[in-house]
Amino acid sequence: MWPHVLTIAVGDTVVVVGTDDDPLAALLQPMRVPSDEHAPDTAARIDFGVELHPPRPAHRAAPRSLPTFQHGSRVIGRAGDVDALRDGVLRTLASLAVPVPAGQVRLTGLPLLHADGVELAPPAAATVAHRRLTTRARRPLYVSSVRVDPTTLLATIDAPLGAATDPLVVPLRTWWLDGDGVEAAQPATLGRLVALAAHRTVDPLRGPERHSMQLAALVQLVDRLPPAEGRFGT
Amino acid sequence: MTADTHFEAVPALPLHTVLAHGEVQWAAAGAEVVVAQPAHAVAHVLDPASAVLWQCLDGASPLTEVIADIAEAFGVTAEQVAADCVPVLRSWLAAGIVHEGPADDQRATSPAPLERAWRRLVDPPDT
Repeated sequence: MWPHVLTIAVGDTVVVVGTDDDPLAALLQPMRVPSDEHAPDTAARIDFGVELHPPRPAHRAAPRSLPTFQHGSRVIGRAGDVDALRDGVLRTLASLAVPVPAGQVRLTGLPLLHADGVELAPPAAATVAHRRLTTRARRPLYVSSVRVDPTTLLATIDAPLGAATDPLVVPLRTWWLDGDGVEAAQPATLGRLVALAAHRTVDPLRGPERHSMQLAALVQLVDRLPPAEGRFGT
Repeated sequence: MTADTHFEAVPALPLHTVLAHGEVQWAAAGAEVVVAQPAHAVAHVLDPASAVLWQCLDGASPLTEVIADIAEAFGVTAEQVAADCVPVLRSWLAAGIVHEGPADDQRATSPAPLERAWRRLVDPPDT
């Protein structure tokens, strides 16, 4: 189905990328590992699907597919801006090799850059139209997660894989919980807000100890910068 | 505090039992404690009273000692503490956030692999 299926190594992580994009496949080519040697089950499993050249609609009135970057069925980015999606793919792949430093937390979500820093929208915002975000002076970076230092309130977005550039480090201005956020009927205690955000923590280098460290960092983040009230986009 | 939805399904909890935290991540959030189960995408908020009990479960002390310590700290009888705490502990057992017996340290003592092994660290697609 995919013109290119690449099993690549990023640090100690093996992922399978399926794509229809020749330039992206060429960028990932040097990182390929023999799929049958180290991870025989991965050859038939696609972790990340990157469809940047969807087929043209049969006629003008037919629905038009947008280029999409996704992990399984979860959309990480969907936009007409192919360069932005390609950039997001490379940043997301790079993040798989970056451990979360002690005291920081990696949160899933869609970072939206603007003049004063970055806002972290819930992951579901990845399906919001690119044009709608850019008209509000927000530039989405189509990555799956960002690292946040709760002591400095700086967000780090990993540099693209293979690029000789530094990660983006920008002030985190606000962030949202998923869905409707805090239910009005329940008191928004610190613990409750942390519990609502806990499933957003991720760490490529898994382990219960590291997860608990991240949860403690999330407590600090929620205490210093509570999530915005209400639903994202309202 | 977690809901006690499976109270009847949990067997009796002898007071000599040792309880340890399960495969969870947890952190204190003010006077509360948040206990997350990443595998189930569930997080529990323990109220301040339950949070004290949670932090007393060290995986080594029998419940009689834990309850006696709490009773001494709060100036009440051990029977009162047991009456309050045992149902909570049963609900935690039912929720799978604690388990009986000493903490499993088998992983810490297992020999390190001799060769570098590729690890599949990305969540499999959910399709």
